[in-house]
Amino acid sequence: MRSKLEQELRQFISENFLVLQEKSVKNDESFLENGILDSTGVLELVSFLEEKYGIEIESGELIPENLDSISRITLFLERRFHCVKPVACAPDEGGRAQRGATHQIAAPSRGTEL
Amino acid sequence: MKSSSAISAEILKIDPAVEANRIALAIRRIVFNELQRRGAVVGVSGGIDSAVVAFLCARALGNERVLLLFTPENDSSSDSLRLGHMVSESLGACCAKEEISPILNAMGCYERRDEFIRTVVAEYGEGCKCKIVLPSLMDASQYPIFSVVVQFPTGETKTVRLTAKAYLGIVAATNLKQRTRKMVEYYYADLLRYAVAGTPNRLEYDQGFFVKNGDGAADLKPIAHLYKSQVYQLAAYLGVPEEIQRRVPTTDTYPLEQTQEEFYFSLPLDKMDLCLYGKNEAIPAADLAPAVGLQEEQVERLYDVIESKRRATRYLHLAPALVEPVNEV
Repeated sequence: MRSKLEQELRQFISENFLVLQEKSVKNDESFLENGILDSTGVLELVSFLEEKYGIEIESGELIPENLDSISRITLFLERRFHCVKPVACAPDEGGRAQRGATHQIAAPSRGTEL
Repeated sequence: MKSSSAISAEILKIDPAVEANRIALAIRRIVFNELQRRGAVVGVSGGIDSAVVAFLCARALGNERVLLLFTPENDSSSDSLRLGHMVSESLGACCAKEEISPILNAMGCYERRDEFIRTVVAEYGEGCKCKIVLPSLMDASQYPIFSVVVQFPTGETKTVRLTAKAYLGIVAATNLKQRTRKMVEYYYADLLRYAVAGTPNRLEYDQGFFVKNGDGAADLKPIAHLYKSQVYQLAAYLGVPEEIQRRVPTTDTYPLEQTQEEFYFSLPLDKMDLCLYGKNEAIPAADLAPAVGLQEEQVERLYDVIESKRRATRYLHLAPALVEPVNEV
């Protein structure tokens, strides 16, 4: 199970972020420290995990401890599959962006800068 | 490396008279000698950066050789045009207004954007407004993941994290706005044999906060070396109208007000200025932290984010790559 997950993750990273590059990402290699993923890449990774494995990742779980290497993602997914609560940062307070969060905001005042 | 005793917001103080003259001389040399153009087109948004560039171009070239261009569209604030006119009246410079909504409509800009929003907020429709936002960098170790904020006609709002497909689609559609604006600027530049002056400040230029072949395109960028707080100092010296100086920098790209902080920098611009300066001058995070009112580890994280954004946006700065050099040109 673990090696299959690692293989699928490595394939996703290679096909999308290391196209035609000789190097292959190692299990413990940090995506951010090694410039493999930028913030848009993280977004693509999250979408991939949610679609491929049918899970919904909460905002508090979007932290490097869960997603910054193949090993960490594998552990994160295994905990999810076995219903063990994954690592999460402190709950958001107030208007932080969360899935489906609904709240009132003041009427907008507009400004500009090209 | 700077000593910690020297670090405060004062470190970004400039002599605005000296700097204005230095930039004006450079603009004259670039426009008349290097580019061999007769004047400059400046896209004026009503924000401080474009106002300062307009004032500098007028100082360098003469107000009769500057064309200020306003390019409002459906989602623009009415303040943009009003403040743009304030700049042209202050300078006595010629201006032109080109409403770009028909062009954007013809390209499907709004329809495409709204379709992508509906992939995450199915009820988004007539009368709804939107913007996309990043979480603050100061209060968590979370990845900076974009969300869309939708305001319904009732005033109720909903914030939903974006999927990669929705984020890329929304950005691709809205980037049509900056590219259309630049296209119109070059229409006037061709017509008048003028150069196009770009308006990025150092934060925007360094961190890739621009659209390639959109607001990133220009023949010269007179304030790209200046930190945002230095742009404010120049604005005060040059006599840019106070309402423009007081205005919060926003993108004016989405129907809901969207500050540059929530869209890109995730930090107040004065703090971002000092962090970029600290990074550039190799100031240890522990020494900079008191000056920006942050913890040492927060500054370390910001230094990492600055480097990460540079890496991610490096290609935006590159000219088209050639298979081999063409040395004759």
